[in-house]
Amino acid sequence: MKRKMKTAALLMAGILTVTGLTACGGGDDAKAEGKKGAGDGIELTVSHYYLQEERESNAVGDSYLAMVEQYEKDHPDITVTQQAMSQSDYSTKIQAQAAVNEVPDVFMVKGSWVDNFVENGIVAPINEYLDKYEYKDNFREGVFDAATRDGQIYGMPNQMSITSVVYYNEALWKSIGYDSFPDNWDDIYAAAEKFQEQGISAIALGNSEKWAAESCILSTLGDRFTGADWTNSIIDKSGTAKFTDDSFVSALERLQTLATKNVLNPDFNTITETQGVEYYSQGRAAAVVSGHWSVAAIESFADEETIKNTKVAVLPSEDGSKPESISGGCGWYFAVNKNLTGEKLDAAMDFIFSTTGYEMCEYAAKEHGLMGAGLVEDVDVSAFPQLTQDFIALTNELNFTPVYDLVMDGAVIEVMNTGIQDLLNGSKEPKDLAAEIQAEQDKLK
Amino acid sequence: MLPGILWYSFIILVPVCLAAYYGMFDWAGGTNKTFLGIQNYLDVIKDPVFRQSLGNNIYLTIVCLAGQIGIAFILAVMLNGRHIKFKGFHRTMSYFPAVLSAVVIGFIWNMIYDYHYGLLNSFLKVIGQGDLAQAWLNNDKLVLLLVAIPLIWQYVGYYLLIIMSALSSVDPQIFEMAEIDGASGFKRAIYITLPLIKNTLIVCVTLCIAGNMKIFDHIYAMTGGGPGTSSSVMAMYAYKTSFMSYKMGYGSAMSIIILIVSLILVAGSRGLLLRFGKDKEV
Repeated sequence: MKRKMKTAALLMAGILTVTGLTACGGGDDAKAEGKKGAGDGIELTVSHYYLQEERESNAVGDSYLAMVEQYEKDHPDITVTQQAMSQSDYSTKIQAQAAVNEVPDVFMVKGSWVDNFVENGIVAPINEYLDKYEYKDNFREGVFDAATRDGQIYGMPNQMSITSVVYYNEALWKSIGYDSFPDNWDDIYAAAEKFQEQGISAIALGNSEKWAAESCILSTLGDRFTGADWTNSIIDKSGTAKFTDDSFVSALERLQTLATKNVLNPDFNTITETQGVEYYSQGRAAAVVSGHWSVAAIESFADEETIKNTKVAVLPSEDGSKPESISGGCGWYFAVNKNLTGEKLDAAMDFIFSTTGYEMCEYAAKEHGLMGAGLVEDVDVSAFPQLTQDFIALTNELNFTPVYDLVMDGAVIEVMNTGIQDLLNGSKEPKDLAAEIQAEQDKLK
Repeated sequence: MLPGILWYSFIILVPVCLAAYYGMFDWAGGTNKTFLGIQNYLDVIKDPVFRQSLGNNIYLTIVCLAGQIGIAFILAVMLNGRHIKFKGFHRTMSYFPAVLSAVVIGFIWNMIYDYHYGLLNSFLKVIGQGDLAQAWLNNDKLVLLLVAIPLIWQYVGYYLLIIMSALSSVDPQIFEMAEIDGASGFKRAIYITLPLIKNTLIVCVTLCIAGNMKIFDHIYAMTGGGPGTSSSVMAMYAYKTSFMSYKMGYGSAMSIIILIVSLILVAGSRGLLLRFGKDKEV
């Protein structure tokens, strides 16, 4: 019996080995055939964070994926392999790949990474191809700035982030005597007191992830105090502008008053940005300062009544004039691997222009009412929901100033974002925070 | 033996040595590195946020030593008594939180501390102390204690199990004789149980210190180190430095310092406890 078992076991092992070998052999054959099939074509690996399953709720993602599908249809000889993952996974993975210089052929770069990627020779400049691009002059001003170093442009912007629009509930503000969102801070502070009596807050903020206060509020406030030259000097690291300058400290002081005057919900540091928008949608707050993504969020969180009452505005200016700008701009770019040459380089360049260029802006504007890096004229907006239409009308009149976390160095932003939590809590003075941020800025070359 | 050592060195020693090597560079991830020598290591030691994080780790360790092992010891002695019913049930229920993942624990306790829906604030309102209701995790003076409570809650069952298994190896006749001699429950716990399971307790203390030195996920899920850096711990600061500020070299140096600090604390406490235990026996 024992011997029989042994023989059976040996036999089984033999069978496994043989089938295993043939399986491997088959695999190799298939691979070789696959290569031959696309032999005359080119393979492009593309890495991004637009997931197929999120297409419904992500307008930019849908536009991009639609463009990729169109590209694949138009170029049957080119095989496109997509690696899609969530944004945070993507950020970690691409940094690791960049560390060993093994990035995909086409990938996404954030404005604040460009310095590092250019220094390490990971991204290829696109100037030569951009000059030949037929829609070259149809792009908005400044959209390439965050990806430009010494006149060389290192990527195609694929989304326009507008981060600082005030969404407010008109009915609630009318109930305390304001026809619209106030155009000066004193009125906002006074309104906050009245709202507090009703048990709600004037402005909802969800800053537990630490970026919302800086990205949505400070980026706009800061520019009102410092002006664009200051911001650009910080981005260039030229050293003429400092975070310790009075103008920036004043901006931090203004931000701090939002908390000290109880304009914000008391739990601002413990809820997420999305929860902040939910607070507004549920009527727990009379307004929320958020980005373009919240148009869709409010439309899905809030009831009919709230959606109908929701209007858009901008944060007040400091001198009482009509504000002309808010923070917004391009922060993410599609870039090409610097190691590519010849036909493959041409194909990769053609791919980024076809999938993120003017045609994508056109698709996004017409399908989703979305503002892109390219200026699209004559879009019929009447079919979109009223809130989307209001948003488009408001943003069309405005200029855009840099969003801090899209363009400033990551380490500086980390210190700023962390410190703002303390600032709003009252446990850190504006001057001290400014000094800490400047100390981090000084470490940059 | 040899394959084991090879395997161990490949997955543990090599990465540690590499981290120590990378720690000597100004490196943002990429092919360019600038050699700095030990500058990064010196900077880490001087970094105020790192020092604060180390302090937080030590604070959490002390609170957890008292909370986790202290409560577990009391519960174990009680469960070992003759008057408790449903011992198996108590044991299982107290171990239950230990099987939950840190992120789940974080979410559960976030809900408890929540400003609007939280159990804690609702409770305060019910007992007429609504004025005390606040956004708990935004209180920079209390936040460390508040994140320590879930840690204690989760691991009491774990240490309870270890201590109970040690107690079960003690001859029950010893307790009976002490009882006949008139020793109270408290005296039996201090003068009989404690010395008899001393070695197990030393293991528990070592595990507790090691666990609290590498604590990361609970705090990440609950506060992300906030508000500001009030609840930041060493592992979280190293992660943020490496992957959010993109200072890979500095982050590597920090990891090595964390390793050294943890080893010193674990070895030091062990040595101290063993010596202390011996003296008492003599």
